Amino acid sequence: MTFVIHFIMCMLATIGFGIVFNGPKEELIYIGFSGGVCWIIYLLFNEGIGWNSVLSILLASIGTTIFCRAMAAYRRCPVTVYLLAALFPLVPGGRIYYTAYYMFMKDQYLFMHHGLMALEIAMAIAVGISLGFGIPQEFFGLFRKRG
Amino acid sequence: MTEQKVILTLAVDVGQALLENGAEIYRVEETIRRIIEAYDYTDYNVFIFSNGIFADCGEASDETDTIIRQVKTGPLHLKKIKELNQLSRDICSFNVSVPQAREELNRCHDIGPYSDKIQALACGVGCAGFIYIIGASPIDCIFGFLIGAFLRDFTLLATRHNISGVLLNVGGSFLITLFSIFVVAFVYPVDLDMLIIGGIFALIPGTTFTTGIRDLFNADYLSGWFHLIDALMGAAELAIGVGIAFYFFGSVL
Repeated sequence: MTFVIHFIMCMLATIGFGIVFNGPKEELIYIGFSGGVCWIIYLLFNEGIGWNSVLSILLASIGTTIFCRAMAAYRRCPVTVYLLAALFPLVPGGRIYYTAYYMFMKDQYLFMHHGLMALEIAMAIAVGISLGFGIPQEFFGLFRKRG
Repeated sequence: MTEQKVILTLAVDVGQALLENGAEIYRVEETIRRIIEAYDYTDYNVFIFSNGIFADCGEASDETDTIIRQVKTGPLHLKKIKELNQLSRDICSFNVSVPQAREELNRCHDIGPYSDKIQALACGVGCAGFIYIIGASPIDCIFGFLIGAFLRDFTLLATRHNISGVLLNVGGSFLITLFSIFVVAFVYPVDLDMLIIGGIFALIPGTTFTTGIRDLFNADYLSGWFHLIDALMGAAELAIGVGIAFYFFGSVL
């Protein structure tokens, strides 16, 4: 049940940012769906199986990239349109905030901890996207809408 | 103008429009190549950079046409990217005449952003939704919505008055933090961290980061690093804004 609520909330939030990035009206629902899928993959690995968050984020960004590419082939639309908003749930906004907060609170240990975590997450997303794009484009031709 | 020049200009114009609206380097390059090839020119060179386009055509002949463009990237506009992509696809698969293509390109330029109200509303929903999934309570979300909506108004206003990106980020995150501290101290004891994180979500350079990674992966190392440094600077600016607000107003709590 929590998964369903999370999916819907994440979908709404992603659509929100899709509008901020001026996403095409007819694609907004697909943008939202990609964002929801992204967060659900993360939750499945992180809370479902209990793997650590960086690994879960890596897997989620691979999954999202593949999902968005399939969607892009199906909808005949550049993959950027889906991918940019769909990865937003994974972005380490909280970590960046805590890094700043502890820097000014003069807590060196927590400052380093959150700063490094933010970097680790950013790298996990980066590697995830790269791996997702490693699959040859021909494979996604299968999803192309006929006609 | 010679036909060669007309076609080179058309191709570069489409490429420039893509680059301005936040497309990846490889897409810009491929679009320019495809358009030139669609009109049966093969002797050409294209070099794209995160803020510049260099292209020439007809190097071997007596008449060489060269175009150099400096490109200023604006806010992300996915709708335009989609339409421009469609335009280049049409040029490649059907016989689109140059004036027709120009007309279509002008139509793409005229696509406006969503209205300010819708953007503010959407940004509010975005911020509220994202803090909900990382564990905020529904009441936190209501304030998160307000912060997101106000922030979008601030961003739009600042962009219209040509305020620099640095000031926008520092000022934006400063205002978010100030507003959140104010809410917690005087209005309702919500989760301060969640409110600020919600606001920061709307400012974070996540899209620049993603584009940078994709550029790197496509071996456009120079542009990729440009984007990544841009994203890193953005994150540092957000941190500075939050820090300043805490430094001066943290004692209110």
